[in-house]
Amino acid sequence: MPPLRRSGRIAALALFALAALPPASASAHGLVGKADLPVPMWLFAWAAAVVLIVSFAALGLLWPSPRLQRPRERRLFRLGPWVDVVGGALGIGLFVALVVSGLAGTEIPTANFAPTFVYVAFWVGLTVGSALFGDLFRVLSPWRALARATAWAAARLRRPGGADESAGALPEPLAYPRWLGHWPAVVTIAAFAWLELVSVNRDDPRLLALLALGYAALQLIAMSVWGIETWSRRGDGFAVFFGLFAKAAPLVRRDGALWLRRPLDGLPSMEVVPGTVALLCTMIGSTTFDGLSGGPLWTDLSPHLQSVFEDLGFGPTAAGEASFTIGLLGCLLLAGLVYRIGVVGMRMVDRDRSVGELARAFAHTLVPIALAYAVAHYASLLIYQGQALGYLVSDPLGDGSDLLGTASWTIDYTVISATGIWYLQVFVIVLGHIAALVLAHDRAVALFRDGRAALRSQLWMLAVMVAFTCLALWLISAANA
Amino acid sequence: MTVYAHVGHWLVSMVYAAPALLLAGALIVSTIRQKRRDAERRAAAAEAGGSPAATAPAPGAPEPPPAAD
Repeated sequence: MPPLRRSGRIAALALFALAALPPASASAHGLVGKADLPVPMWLFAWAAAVVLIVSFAALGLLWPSPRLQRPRERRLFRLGPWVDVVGGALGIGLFVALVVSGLAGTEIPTANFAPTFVYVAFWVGLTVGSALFGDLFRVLSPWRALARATAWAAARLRRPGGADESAGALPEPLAYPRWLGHWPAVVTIAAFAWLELVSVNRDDPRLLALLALGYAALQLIAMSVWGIETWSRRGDGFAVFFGLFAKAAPLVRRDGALWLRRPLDGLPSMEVVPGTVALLCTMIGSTTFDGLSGGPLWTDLSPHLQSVFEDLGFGPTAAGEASFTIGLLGCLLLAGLVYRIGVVGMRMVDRDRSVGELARAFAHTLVPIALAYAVAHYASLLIYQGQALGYLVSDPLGDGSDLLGTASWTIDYTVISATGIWYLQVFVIVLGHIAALVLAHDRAVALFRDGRAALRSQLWMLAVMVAFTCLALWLISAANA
Repeated sequence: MTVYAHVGHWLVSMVYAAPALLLAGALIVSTIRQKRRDAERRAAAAEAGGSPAATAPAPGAPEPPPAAD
């Protein structure tokens, strides 16, 4: 079979597989009511697709040469090392609060600081914060702060005149294997998604505290082996995760100063190493499964899948987790498959480059999509449940204390209506996919040189963007249905 | 099976996927047409006894001058 036709068939099969996905509820975590909309929800998906197609045409006409391949930055002001010290101390303080509240606090998840902190403030809040203000986690990371403080103290002790002058210098870190790339981060984010979406003990404060301790210990060991900064850039799953979103931010800290740049400017220069594409697909796929797992399809399918595992000898809980694991893996593969379709389609225009080369060249376009999925999916959680942090910081253990005088605060569910949440979600999804389209177009005109070939290659990416947009709106619509 | 009992509901909701399907369909049809045109051009070139590159003018190339009498 000629490669062109084979690629077309693969594309058709995968897109029809995507279309065959039944509707799902918006979010296992979403806290939304019923939106009051003037037109049917599906019309939003059609309108979003039209917006993308018009944007694509406009890019073809008005964007003939690359504009984003070299970032333009303006220095704002100096940001000294004190930022790391203050941020690191804050990060360590929050980490201690998480561990203490998890281990010593109440077992009721909603009354304990740990689950809300991990799933709302850390996972969702820091995602939004990174996209707006840059790499916050790099400053706040408790294990990076602890490792840097230890290295600083060790260096002071060993230098001439120090208390431990006779001791030898610290050993040099090992070279980080190139093939390992971002794969440790893929494992971390997939494991966190499994904990959040599959495990029945996801809200157990004690388990969260123990896992946080274990993860921190692993990071410290890895940093001592491969170096603090190398491991933070490559292997620390959360540092890599938030760092990718921070590439889209208009602010960046570099060379001891804060710099202003255009939003998205940091993405084209994003370093793509082994595992980066898999990590981005894991980010999109896990959010997809979060939406799917609350919907009617999964509600219908999972008991059958669970009974298969029970027939194999699994207990009811293990069988449930096994069926959810299958669902999660399926969504990760689906996200990867949809992206691959775009890349295979692009290759029809440019036979000189391999699928892998093109996949890496356009990997940065997945960042705004992953961001849009996360923000749209967790918007209601952040807006409503985020308020719970106001009273949980006063009573982190859930023992009735009132440390800051805010323990009596409650969640205000009128802060935004369900309709407002819906419009916010649609706006974020469309914006994220237009941003992805712009990035892909800019890379294509830089890569292909011939404007016509660039445009033809991007037709496939347009199909991918439209597919991801429709899927996202499909997922969030069911919660409002 | 419960899954099939919800087929109607799924089909109604599949309208969300219509834009992606239409776009994919258009892309696949254009790809097949392009492929067919290429094959026809190759066949015509083979019949004429020359290579497609030798017989077909390059896109954007100027018209050949009229043959001299």
